[in-house]
Amino acid sequence: MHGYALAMDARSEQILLEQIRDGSEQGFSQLVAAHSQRVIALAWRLVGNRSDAEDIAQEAFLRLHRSLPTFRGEARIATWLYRTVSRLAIDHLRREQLKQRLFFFRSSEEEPDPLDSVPAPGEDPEQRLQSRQALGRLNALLQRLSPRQRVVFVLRHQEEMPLREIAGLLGLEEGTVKAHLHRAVTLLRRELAEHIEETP
Amino acid sequence: MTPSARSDCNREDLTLLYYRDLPTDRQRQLEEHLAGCPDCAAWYRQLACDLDAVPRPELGLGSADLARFAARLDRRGRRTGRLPAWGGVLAAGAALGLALVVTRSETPAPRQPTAAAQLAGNVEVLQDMELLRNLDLLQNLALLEELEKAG
Repeated sequence: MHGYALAMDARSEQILLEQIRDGSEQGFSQLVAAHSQRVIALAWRLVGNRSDAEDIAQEAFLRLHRSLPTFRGEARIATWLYRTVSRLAIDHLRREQLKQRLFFFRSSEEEPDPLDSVPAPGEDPEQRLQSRQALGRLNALLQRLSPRQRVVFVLRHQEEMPLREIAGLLGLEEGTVKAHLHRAVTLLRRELAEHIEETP
Repeated sequence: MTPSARSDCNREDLTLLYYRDLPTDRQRQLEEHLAGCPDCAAWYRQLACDLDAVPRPELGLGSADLARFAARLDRRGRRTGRLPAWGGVLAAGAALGLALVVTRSETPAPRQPTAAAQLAGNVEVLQDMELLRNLDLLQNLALLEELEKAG
């Protein structure tokens, strides 16, 4: 899968799947260990919030666990997880948009995510502040997009996934994905231009 | 002007050109067009500048973060006998739905003394935004969509 360095080769994965089907819980723990970093990171990029991202990642792994007895192995585990996380993220974003419209919940995406507040070793405080501000602005921009536009944009721009793969992941026609991407880029550029005009 | 320079310059294709997501021949055609069309070249340069400026953030996760995640996943997976997510708040959910219908209605619904007391308690739910945020019921996407349609 482009943009996702495969955590294990196909043969090792097949062996692990057989062990899991034979009842090995340790096998599933190995799967989680191999994929959790990329899965959480993907969910975080898609929804902009670490807490929600971990919830989505957990749900994806739980669904994987339930599916393993009948997992046919036509797709790699990584592909299956990416597909599940992307679709869960779309549902999550739709729920959040609806809750904001229905109940006027204020978006917290522009606020710093407390889970990201732990500084990296040696990180300059000024740099960290700038990174967090940039992240906040990015999340505010992405919030202007529809859930599908946002997911397509993140998968293309940040995950560098080809459009054909994105279409397969989301169960959409490639032309539809192209339209979502173009619309997302147009909206983001418009928001960026307005932000620059408003900034003194 | 060459035929390729006269060709239609599709803005959507220029976005795909930036991401190198075009068939080779179409990519070549567009690059030739940009070489001969200052307006489109300027538009493309601005597009590239704007998109280059959109961050590609990285989430740094240490071994402790991943261990904590795995432990939470294990606990969640092993949880047994848990009520359905919405089971414990069915009464609050019904009250919420009733309150939403009444508050959004243009004509007040007829009230009985016992219903009025119930309604007063239900409206308090609406006013408690923290409770609203945390209601498992609000994780139900289909319900939220129904509420939106109900206006």
